Amino acid sequence: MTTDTTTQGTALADEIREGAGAVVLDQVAKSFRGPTGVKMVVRDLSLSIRPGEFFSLLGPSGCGKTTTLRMIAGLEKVDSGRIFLGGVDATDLPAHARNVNTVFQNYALFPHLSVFDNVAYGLHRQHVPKAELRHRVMEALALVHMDGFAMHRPQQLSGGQQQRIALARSIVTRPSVLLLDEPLAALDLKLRESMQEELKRLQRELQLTFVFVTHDQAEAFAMSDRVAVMEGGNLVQVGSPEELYLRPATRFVTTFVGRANFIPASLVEGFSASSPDEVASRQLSESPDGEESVGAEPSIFVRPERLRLEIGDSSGQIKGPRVRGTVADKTFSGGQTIVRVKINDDVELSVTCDSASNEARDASIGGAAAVTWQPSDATLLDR
Amino acid sequence: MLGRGLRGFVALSYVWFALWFIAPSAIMLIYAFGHTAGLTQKGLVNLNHLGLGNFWQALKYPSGPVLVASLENAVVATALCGVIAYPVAYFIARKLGPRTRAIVLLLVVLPFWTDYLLRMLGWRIFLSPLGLLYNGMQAVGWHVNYLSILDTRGAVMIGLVYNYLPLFILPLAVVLERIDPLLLQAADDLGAKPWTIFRTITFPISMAGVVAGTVLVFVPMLGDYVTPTLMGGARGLMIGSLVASEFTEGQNWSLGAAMAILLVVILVGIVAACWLLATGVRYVLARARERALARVLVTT
Amino acid sequence: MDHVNHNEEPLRILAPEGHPLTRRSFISLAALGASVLAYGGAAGAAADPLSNLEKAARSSMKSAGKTSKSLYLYTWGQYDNPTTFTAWKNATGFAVQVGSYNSNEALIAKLELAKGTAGYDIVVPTGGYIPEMVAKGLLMPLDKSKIPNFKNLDPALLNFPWDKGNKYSVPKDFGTTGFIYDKTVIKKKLTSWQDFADAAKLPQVSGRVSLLDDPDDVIGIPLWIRGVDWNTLDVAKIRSANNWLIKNLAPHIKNLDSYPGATGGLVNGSYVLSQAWNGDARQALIQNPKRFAWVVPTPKTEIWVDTWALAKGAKNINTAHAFLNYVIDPHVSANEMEYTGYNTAVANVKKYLPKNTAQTDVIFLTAEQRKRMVAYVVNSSFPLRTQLYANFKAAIAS
Repeated sequence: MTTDTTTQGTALADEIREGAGAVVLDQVAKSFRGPTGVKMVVRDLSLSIRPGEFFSLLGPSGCGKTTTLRMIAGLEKVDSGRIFLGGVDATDLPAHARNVNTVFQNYALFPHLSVFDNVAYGLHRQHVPKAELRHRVMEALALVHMDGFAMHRPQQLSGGQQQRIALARSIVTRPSVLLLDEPLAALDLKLRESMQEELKRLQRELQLTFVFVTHDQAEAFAMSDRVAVMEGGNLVQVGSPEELYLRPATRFVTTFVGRANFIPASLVEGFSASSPDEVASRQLSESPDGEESVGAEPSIFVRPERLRLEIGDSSGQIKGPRVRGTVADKTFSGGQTIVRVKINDDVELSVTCDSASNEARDASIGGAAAVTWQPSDATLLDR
Repeated sequence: MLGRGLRGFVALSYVWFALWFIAPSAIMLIYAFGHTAGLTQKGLVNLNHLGLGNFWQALKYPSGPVLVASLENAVVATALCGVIAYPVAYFIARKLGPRTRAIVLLLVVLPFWTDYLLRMLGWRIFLSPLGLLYNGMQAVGWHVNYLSILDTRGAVMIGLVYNYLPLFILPLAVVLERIDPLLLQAADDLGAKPWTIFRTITFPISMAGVVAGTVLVFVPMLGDYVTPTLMGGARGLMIGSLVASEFTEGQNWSLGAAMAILLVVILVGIVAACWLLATGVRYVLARARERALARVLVTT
Repeated sequence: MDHVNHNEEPLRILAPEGHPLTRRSFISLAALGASVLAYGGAAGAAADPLSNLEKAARSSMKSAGKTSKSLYLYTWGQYDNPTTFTAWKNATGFAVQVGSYNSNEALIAKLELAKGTAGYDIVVPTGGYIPEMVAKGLLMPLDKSKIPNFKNLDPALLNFPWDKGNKYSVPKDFGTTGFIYDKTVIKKKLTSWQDFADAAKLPQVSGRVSLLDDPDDVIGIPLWIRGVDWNTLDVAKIRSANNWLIKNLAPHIKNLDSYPGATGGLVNGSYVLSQAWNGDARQALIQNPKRFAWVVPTPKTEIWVDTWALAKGAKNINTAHAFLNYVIDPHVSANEMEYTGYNTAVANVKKYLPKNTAQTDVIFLTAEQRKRMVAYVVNSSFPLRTQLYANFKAAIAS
């Protein structure tokens, strides 16, 4: 990734000067020596997280997101690049000298200490006076609704309860940044959802910077102000959940953040009506993004819920691109039904329709169907 | 669910255990209540009328002072084992890769593949008045007429520590190795410096290994009679030697059995007392904390 | 075969020159040192050509009547010359199966527990234990008509109080208890047990004294000094003797060591004054004849005899008699003496010993010495004596 260094430099300076909760990574790289040789885990990653922001690092396992988090925490040394915390170069600071706390995936509660002593651990390190310490610990436990469990041992608690203790332990010292490494991965769905809300509430109340690592896009979208998608050690795209969903930068992001349909296309000049249903001859998307040139063979990408289904031979009711095929599959999932339409041997489109609609009702496997969309809902991507 | 065949096998293993472990112990127990057959009577132990006489006899001099000396030896040697074993186990568990760790652990137990008497003989050669150590000291210019380490309590201590050290290192290394590195990282993350992490996390968690090592080492040490006999001679006498001599030169199996059983009772008593004490102290501390916290809850 | 030159034995790490073996192997360094050395190859020197031994074995088998082809011997570890067994096997075509124990008490316990099923034919108790073993029914009488060599035995070693008429036992070898001291440390010439006790108190000696690890020999010292019968049943006298030990000797004792010679305690300087059996003392003397002096003390001291006996339940009775006859053949006896370093009970066995055998004065006792020697028989004071011995041991340790 090469960028103009002068603009990068000034922008970086601005970012670094931001408040205590700011996290700035500047061309950070990390590799591990493995049995098969040296493996790059994070490549020249630059990132700027604003104070008080709920920021997620999203990606499949092995994409480098946890390593990135651990480098911010100071639990992993960087190979190259700099890390700034609250405007201070923290690259060479050990973990215990960084005002950053981590909530670990499997909680990492100290098994030999009571809940109280687990939470008090960080405060002891700061030599907080006894009375204040007790007060703050109980306050933190109350914040996560665990104030009745102070004298319990971690082993006596459920996963969700342990998660709350881990949270309380991390926030009680009032760090400027809280790092969360897939903290909800081990919880069941219901508990996960309630903890998501809890985390959002906490983040709002404490006004801390949260850096949240997850491989679950729904979780990332539900909670985050901004999300960074990583793939193979590279940062692919940073943006709000809406931006990522509606304007994904790459095919990887497109598929990773939601269901997507891809329709192969060729870019031609002009407009021809000679063969109305021919895919390549239509204006399929709003605009070919400037860089594409005639003759290129990009893909058209449309979300399933932006596609419309037409059953039978009824045509022309909706203006816009249209492709024909046969219904290959129909899946009922409560309010919505997903119909898969086979266009040709290579292309199958998923269409989400209201379960109560005529289309959902009439679609029968093997029957003829057509799929249409608004050009403004489609995006042209490299194939 | 175990299959029928497997269950039969398990049952058989209990019978086996009963036969070779419980039965001999039971015989010793019964012998302890009998009395030794006279020199001209048939049999080893007379079981016609049972009584506690052997136990009173076992409590008499010289058992008392020898037991006290044995306890001193065992306590000091166990403590020495702990002091030496801890850094070694820590190094093995935390500073070595899995492959080197396996090799080093093997090296720790390797001496135990050779004969015990041979190893003790080696120590005797090394420590003997004009032996290897003496020659070594001469060579570096440290002149003494002769060494008087052998056949003292100090030599017993060397033998005990040497023989039991691996029994302390192994459980400790296992416990230390099993401590989740994430716990240490969590402590680091929460602001603890390396020494603080050791003091507040590693060491307290490793106490399980220290306790296991202590029991594993202390219990057989107290009853050991071979090491004190070989290394300490007459001056390193321990209670195990007295028990053994009742079976051998004393020809008094019932008294020997009573002494052995008393020793077991004392050992169980010591271990139980330590356990009770630790549990009690922990309980009292926990109650005190709870009361203190209850006050905080009221005020918040 | 020539006498083996032991100076060339490479594996001789601890023991002095000469035979590595002691009166008894014991589960201690003594046993270990002895066995290590024995494996080193020192063993096996035959005083006589093997053919003489084989001849003796063949004639013994002939005179014993109908013999079987197996024999089980239960004896002290390393207490017989391996060539004695080699020759036996060459002559008879079968090997003697040998098991070993380390104390008379272990032997008694083994036979007692097996109730005649231990399977051993011949055992080797020390004389003083024979009455106990006979009373317990562990031994069976000998048929001396099958032991023609019995006539070879020195009459002075027959008819001991433990077995009048030798109904149960054939003397194997014998020795005495005395002491040995380092002349470079103790300049005065010592001759009596009182001298031993006085020397132990000397500042340069105290803490470098060893006694035999044997209750009878230890309590013998005060009883001999006081002129009390060694076999006394008088509780007060026994207790008083033990108190004397605790007061006068315990503070100066370095160790209770039955093998101060074999295990090197004397040679390496651990001890400068040691109560010892003659065969063991001889090993220190062979190593350093100028440094050490051996004393058969006045007024009294021990004569002990280890014996061959038949175990109750023996299956190979005639073969066992043949073997007993074989081992008291003068050639075989000399072969044994060459190995163990103890005088055997065969009269004039000295004639058969190689001329260059060292320190024979320690092996062969003079008539004057023999006159001062008493035998000990285990009696009803045994439990008291072992109890007091435990007290003495505790006194040394404290």
